[in-house]
Amino acid sequence: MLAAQTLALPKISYWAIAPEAILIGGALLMLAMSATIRSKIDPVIFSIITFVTSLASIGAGVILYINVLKHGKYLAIDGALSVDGFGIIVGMAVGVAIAIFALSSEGFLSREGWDGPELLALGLLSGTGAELMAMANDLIMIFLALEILSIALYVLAGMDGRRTASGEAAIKYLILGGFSSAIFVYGIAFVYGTTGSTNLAQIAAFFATNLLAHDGLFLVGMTLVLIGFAFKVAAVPFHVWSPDVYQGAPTPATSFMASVAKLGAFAALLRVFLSAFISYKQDWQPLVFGVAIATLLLGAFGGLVQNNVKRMLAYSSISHAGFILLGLVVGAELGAQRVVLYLIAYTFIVMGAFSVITVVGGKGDNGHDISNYRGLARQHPYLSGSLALFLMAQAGVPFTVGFVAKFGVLSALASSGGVGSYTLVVVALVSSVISAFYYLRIVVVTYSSPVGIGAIEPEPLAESTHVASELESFNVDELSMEYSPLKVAVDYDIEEIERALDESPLEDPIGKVPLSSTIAISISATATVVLGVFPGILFALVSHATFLF
Amino acid sequence: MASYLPIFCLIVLAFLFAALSFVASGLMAPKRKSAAKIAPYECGIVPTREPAERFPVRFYLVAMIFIVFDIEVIFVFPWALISQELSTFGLVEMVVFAASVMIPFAYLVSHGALDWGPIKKSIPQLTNEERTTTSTVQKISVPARVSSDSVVTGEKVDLSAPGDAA
Repeated sequence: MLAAQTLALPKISYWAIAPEAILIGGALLMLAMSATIRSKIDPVIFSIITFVTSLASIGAGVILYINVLKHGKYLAIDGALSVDGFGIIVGMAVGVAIAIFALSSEGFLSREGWDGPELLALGLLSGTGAELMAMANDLIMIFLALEILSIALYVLAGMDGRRTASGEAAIKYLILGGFSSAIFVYGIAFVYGTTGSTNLAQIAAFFATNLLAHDGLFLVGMTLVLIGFAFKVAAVPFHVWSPDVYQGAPTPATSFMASVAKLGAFAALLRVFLSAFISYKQDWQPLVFGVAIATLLLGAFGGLVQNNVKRMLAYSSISHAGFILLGLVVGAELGAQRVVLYLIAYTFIVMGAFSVITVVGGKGDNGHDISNYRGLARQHPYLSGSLALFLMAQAGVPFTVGFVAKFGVLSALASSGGVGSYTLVVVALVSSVISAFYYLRIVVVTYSSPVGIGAIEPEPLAESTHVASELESFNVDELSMEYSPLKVAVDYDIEEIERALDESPLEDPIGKVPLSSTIAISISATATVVLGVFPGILFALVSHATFLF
Repeated sequence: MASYLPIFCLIVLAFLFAALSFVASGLMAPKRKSAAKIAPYECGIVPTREPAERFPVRFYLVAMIFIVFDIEVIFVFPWALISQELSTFGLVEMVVFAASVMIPFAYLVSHGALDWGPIKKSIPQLTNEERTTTSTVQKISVPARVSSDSVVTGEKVDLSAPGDAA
């Protein structure tokens, strides 16, 4: 019998995994409800459960955060998790993203008639992966969390069975994501082979006391790990999947990919490269430098030629990934803090923008062409105004949180010194200006005249040009300009159009904006403005976003 | 940056090799086309029969449920061997684990993942509960009335009724 032996059990700190456990609990609760209750359950109930769950997760994060501030950072679950400011703050940002996702999904689910907990339950599970990634202190743990995050996202991307584009997006995402995961694990194998551990703390300790005589295999492993992460955050040249997947996926799922997936992946990327691989900074810095430049430029230029708003925002999120990579180029603790700041800011902006896009998409989730935004301001001033705010924030206009984020990263980069860093600052500024063009393009379209007027205009215009050409043959002096038939014709046409518009308002494909979407947009807009006007709050928060070692 | 020179050289060499291979095969390879050679996935053998038919997607579902239970057993088996040593801690962890497997399984079963045979309840919106087989048969016997009724009242036409009655 083996009973006499004592087993050394790892000490499990359940507080350390409380935010994640709450999310999983919420998802299981929804599945259990869907399995046991035979009648149709209103999507509002699922949205409320998701919202409350994410708030509870944030609450657990706050308790954990206060605990860390009082008693210091610590390793939990046998060194697999690092409970520190960085991980907890990113985890709370994930919670915020899920809360806004729950709100904006409610309108979507009701509109599309999707009764079932799948979208929200998968969102919660995916968010669990992102929160774990932010805290994971072991390469295996990071991989597991990455898969929890990704597998749910593959399903989310393909959830819209009526649109073939959704299935296409899921297949593309699954295959490329599978490849990138394989590359990532291959890299982990090399790192383990050369350092003897997958634990980030032990890898860092190994490099503190040892020097590899032949570090070729480690460099291969490090590069493969970087490639694996670059796929997940859609950094150039591993971005190719992102516009197609963003466009094809159901819009709430797209918002989830743009926010939660990036939060988790960037958090893990930073932790690995700034804690375990920091001794090899000289080697990975040029790689990240090149990737950042390519990402910034492609994100800026790629968005210019798009006519689909979701695709545009995909390129915009590629451009943001470039900015976040700048924080990694800075390298030191300052860089990590500014990245966290950027991630928090980006979460609010992107969730707000996608909440608006979800509403504008209309029934069927198809109205994402830029022509669908024409004249939005006339019927939905609140939607178009908040969309303009979010897009301005993405462009980095002052007094929005987007400016604070970009300023934070660029000032850290400039203060890190070196010719290369100034080159990067200039590239980043130029790309920011270029990408402002397509943000403004959407804004201008929403504030231009509605679709219907374009349909009425051509005929009267043709008449008036006809009159004008006739006029040339007459003696012009006989006609004073005030009574010119040309002018009368034009005046008459505008009145006609105005009257037609007043009598029968244009058909509104959007209809009434759901209350939950309005709340989601309001929360995001308030955060965008308040944190933009008082950036001190954010800077104070991220000053605690430090690694354990 | 200088240490990246070998990698750069290797990339250039790789591109050159690929390009030269294409050019060389285009110039030097003999071109004698036959039906077997220009077939997609050419392997020298002309296919003689069609590939396998499609089969129901439900097999995938069953396979996936099988994998889930497979993995559960992977965890349950070692626990069963040393459940004495793991004591309460092990029991609690296993209960949590089993719950997180069984709840999604209950969800799958309740949504018809294991229902074989003709699909009945997965299209509930097509049938109207107020209509019975008798009432529907009466209405269908007068085609014109049915079409005008369904237009005016906006009722959904009961698609399943005639087949079910038979």
